[in-house]
Amino acid sequence: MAETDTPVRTIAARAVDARKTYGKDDTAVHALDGVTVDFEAGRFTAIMGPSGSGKSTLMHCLAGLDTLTGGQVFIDDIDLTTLKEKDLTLLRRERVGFVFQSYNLVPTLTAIENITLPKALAGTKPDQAWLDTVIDTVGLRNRLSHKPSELSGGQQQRVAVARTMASRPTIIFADEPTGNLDSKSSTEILEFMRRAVREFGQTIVMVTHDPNAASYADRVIFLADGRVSGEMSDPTPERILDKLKGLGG
Amino acid sequence: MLRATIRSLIAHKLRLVLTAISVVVGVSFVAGTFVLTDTVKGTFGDLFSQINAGVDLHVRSTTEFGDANGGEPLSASVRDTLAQVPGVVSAEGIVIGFPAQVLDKTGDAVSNGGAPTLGWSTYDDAELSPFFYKVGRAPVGDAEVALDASTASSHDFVVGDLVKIVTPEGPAVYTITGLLGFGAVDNLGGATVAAFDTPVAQRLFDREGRFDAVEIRVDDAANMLAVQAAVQQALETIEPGSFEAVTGEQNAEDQADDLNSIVDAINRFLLMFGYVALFVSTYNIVNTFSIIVTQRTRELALLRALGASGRQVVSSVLVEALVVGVIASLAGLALGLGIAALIKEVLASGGLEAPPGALKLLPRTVIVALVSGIVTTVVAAVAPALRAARVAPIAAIRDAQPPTTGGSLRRTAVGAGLAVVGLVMLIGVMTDHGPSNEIIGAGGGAGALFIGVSLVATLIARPCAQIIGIGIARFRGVPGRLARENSMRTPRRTSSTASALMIGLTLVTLVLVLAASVTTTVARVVDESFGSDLTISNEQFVPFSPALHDTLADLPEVGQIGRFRFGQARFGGPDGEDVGIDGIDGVAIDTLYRMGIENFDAAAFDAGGLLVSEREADKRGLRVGDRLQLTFAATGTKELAVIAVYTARNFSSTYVVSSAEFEANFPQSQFRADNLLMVKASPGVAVASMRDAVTAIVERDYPNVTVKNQSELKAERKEQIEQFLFIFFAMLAFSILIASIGVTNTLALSVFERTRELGLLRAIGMTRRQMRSMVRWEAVIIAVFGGLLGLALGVFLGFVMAGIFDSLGFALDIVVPLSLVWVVVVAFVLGLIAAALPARRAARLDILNAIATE
Ligand SMILES: Nc1ncnc2c1ncn2[C@@H]1O[C@H](COP(=O)(O)OP(=O)(O)O)[C@@H](O)[C@H]1O
Ligand SMILES: [Mg+2]
Repeated sequence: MAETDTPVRTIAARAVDARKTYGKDDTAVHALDGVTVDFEAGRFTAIMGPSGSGKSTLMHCLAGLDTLTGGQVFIDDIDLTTLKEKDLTLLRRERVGFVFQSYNLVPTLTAIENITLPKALAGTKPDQAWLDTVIDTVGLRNRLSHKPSELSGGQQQRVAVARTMASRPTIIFADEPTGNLDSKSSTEILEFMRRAVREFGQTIVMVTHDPNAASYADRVIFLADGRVSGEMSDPTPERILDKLKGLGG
Repeated sequence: MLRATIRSLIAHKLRLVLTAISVVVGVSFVAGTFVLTDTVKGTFGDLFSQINAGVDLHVRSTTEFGDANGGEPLSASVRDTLAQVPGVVSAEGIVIGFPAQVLDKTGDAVSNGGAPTLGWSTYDDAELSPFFYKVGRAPVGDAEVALDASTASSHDFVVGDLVKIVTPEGPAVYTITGLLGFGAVDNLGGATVAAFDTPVAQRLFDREGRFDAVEIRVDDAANMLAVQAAVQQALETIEPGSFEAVTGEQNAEDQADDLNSIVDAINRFLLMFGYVALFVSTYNIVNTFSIIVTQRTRELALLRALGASGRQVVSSVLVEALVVGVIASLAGLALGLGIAALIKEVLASGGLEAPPGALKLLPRTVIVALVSGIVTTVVAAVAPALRAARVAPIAAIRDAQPPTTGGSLRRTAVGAGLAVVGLVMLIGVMTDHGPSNEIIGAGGGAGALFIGVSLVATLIARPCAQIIGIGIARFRGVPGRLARENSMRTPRRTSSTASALMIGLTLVTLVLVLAASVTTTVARVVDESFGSDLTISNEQFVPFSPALHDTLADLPEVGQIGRFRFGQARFGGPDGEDVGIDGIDGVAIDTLYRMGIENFDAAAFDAGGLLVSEREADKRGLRVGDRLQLTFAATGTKELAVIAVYTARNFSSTYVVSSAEFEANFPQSQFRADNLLMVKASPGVAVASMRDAVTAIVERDYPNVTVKNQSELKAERKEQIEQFLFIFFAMLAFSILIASIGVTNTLALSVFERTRELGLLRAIGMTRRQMRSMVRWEAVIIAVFGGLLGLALGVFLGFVMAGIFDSLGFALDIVVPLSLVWVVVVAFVLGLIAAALPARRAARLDILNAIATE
């Protein structure tokens, strides 16, 4: 169980006995088999676990992209399981950021248009000062008018992260954001995410296979067979590797 | 490979159904047209066979060309001579006159949509007679008549009733002595028939001492051919080469031919729309199969990697097209039969009573429908199939990326070339008078023009979409902006989808431009060249009794009255070109007709002088004093002197003669009726009081015509043109419907292809509503692009046509009407409607699946 003892921090997102089952009876797959976990605001959490352990499913359910078959998930104390489709969409737009492994950008829009897209969809103006800060932090100022096809994979991911940051969501979920990147680009992204957490108090949850990537996080949650199988604070690559070996991953 | 084809068919069933529907619509149009016109022809054929059933020989004057009933009347002595020929049992002189306008009990004109109102002589020999008395007996003497039973029953006439009938002699009241049946039916294909005692018919229709034809019954025991030869022999002794004796069957065929040529013209008119619809559906087919090939890229590449040859890939796609084509064509054929059956019912309820019998489905119809449907589908699928064969095996492991190429220079050049060739062909067809194949010329020309423009459209698709989308991007937020971007993404797809819509809308625009131009021109002609206070005509352009002219001329309020009769002759010999020839009254040449002739020689005109339009004179190099030959069907070739060249651009044909000269050359009764009367009040008489006097007579005795002043005439013409427009639009609606299906199809493809992108948009907070809006506005941009293309091309063609008309002698004041705005509005609305399905699909998209889609 992932109980922490830092009552000062508010909880940005939380899963309570979250269950997700695919199929029925004999063929049922329990992608999430009773996951209870809190994600504190202003922290960088990594989720690790073997392939098929339910990492993506957990994130999708927390982000309002997917629905549970049992239990509850909360963002800012809002119970997502009670929301209608429309409200889930609005919640995603306002409180959640999502970075996928690839294909994060709308190909017809420029970098800056992609970054401001959630705001534009909401019909609100972005906070220009904050936008400048984000853009400078990701270092994309001279690429803003480029279309995604004119950007490298690493640059595209930076635009994607900048997009999630621009709307100042409660929480950002990133599902293997560096999975397709070379190590230099990976490092840039990871460092940027860590800065976002340290300097701007952003909450980030990231799924990764890479112990090195996970070591950028403040905390690592381990999943196995749809359950939380352990966690670690202030991880280093070595400790993570040890832990994974211990889990037989 | 066959299995792959079948799987593909099943996998893409929705898209294929949409494509098939467009083929079904086109084929059903073609099949329905054939079935309907064949059925109508069959009905007339049966009818004429039936009424000629008892006629062994039909004797008539020979004609120079065409027209079975178009000869000069025969002297009564011809009948007497023929009655003496051995083997002839009975020889009867007959009169078939026009008009015999029946007035119903309320005084309204009985009319079946412009069908003839015939007066017929009675027969002594019942076996020769086309009709029999269902009720009552034959009319005898001046005051009796027999009416066709259909007219009688629909207007509540029974034997013993009085009925007013207007003949060339004028109105008269008759007692009904009998009701006529024609074989199994009560009606002669919609025409009204009034039978008069033969001497009465002769008097009424200006046939005293003469007949229109002589009909003969031959002794059953005699040799038909021998009697026919003997009859012909007897005719030659009367006047060599002037008469012919044909069999009853032959006469039935000739009579049917007259109507058939009208039916054939209708057939061609309707088929044109059917082929346009099929042509538009080729765009859908090309698009659909391109889409399927794109979607199957991986599968095809895999097949290629596994060793399938390019040829196998091509045939796999073509077989798929063949299956769709066959099924769609069969369905179209069935639907066409259904539509024809429906229309037949409608016609029957409208007065065209058909003898009992099924619809005529000729083998030709089946073949044309199937071939056109299947060939259309398969041929349209060739290009996508060839593209499929070019899929590299390596594509199996790559993401299928739709080509985003725009209009290449080559594509544009080919398109421009095709468009020019098409235009030249079209102009050629419209200006040439040679017997070259007009259908192929016009069809091929239009096809080349449309395809050419579609190809060129690819080049301008991006900038056009960008401009059209300005407002949408500005006012419809992010969905609007994305819609605009999306419409600019695949210019080829955007342009081909828009082009399909362009075709129908081009024709709509063209027709709107021409209609507005004709309306304006007619108004100008009326203003410029009608010197009369009132004009009188039938709203359906059916000629009316000449007695009206004489009656009105006698009114003191009427100062001047002139008539217009329209006929056709041939320039030079019997094989010459058809030319229009009018008969008018010389006395009114300046005052009523305003022909624009200086120093008009009235005496020369009345003596048979010819007036020629300025344009015709220029074209043929004619000058005053020239003598030229015109050939008339009934009276043969005549030499006429050109006495003046007229400058007025009015309703007159190219040649004008005096009413007397016209009558001399057109003895047939349909040409002795008037097409138009122009009336001017006597000096000092107010137009209003003259009108009252004229209207009183018209209302009492001639309810089949209307009295109009110039502005009313213009309004009536305008209304007629608008009715014609309506027919055109109804016919073009099919093509436009098919093109709309194409828009749906394309949008559905785009939604499919952009699944991941749409999933992403949803994931980061696009609502379903915004998603729908995005797809909808993309459709609108594409559709409006099609509308604007159609508008531009239609207006351009309008000017081209105006130029052609001008060169043909009809000066058109070209007008670009404001109503063209509707073309764009319609395109806009069609875009909205066409987007409904794909928009819904996009909105319902499962986000996670979309994101997971590779
Ligand atoms: N749409 C689905 N249908 C059926 N099973 C699924 C579906 N999505 C995920 N699963 C199953 O749920 C389990 C967890 O999947 P996932 O959350 O994607 O794992 P991870 O991201 O940790 O690799 C796996 O066993 C997977 O096969
Ligand atoms: Mg995963």
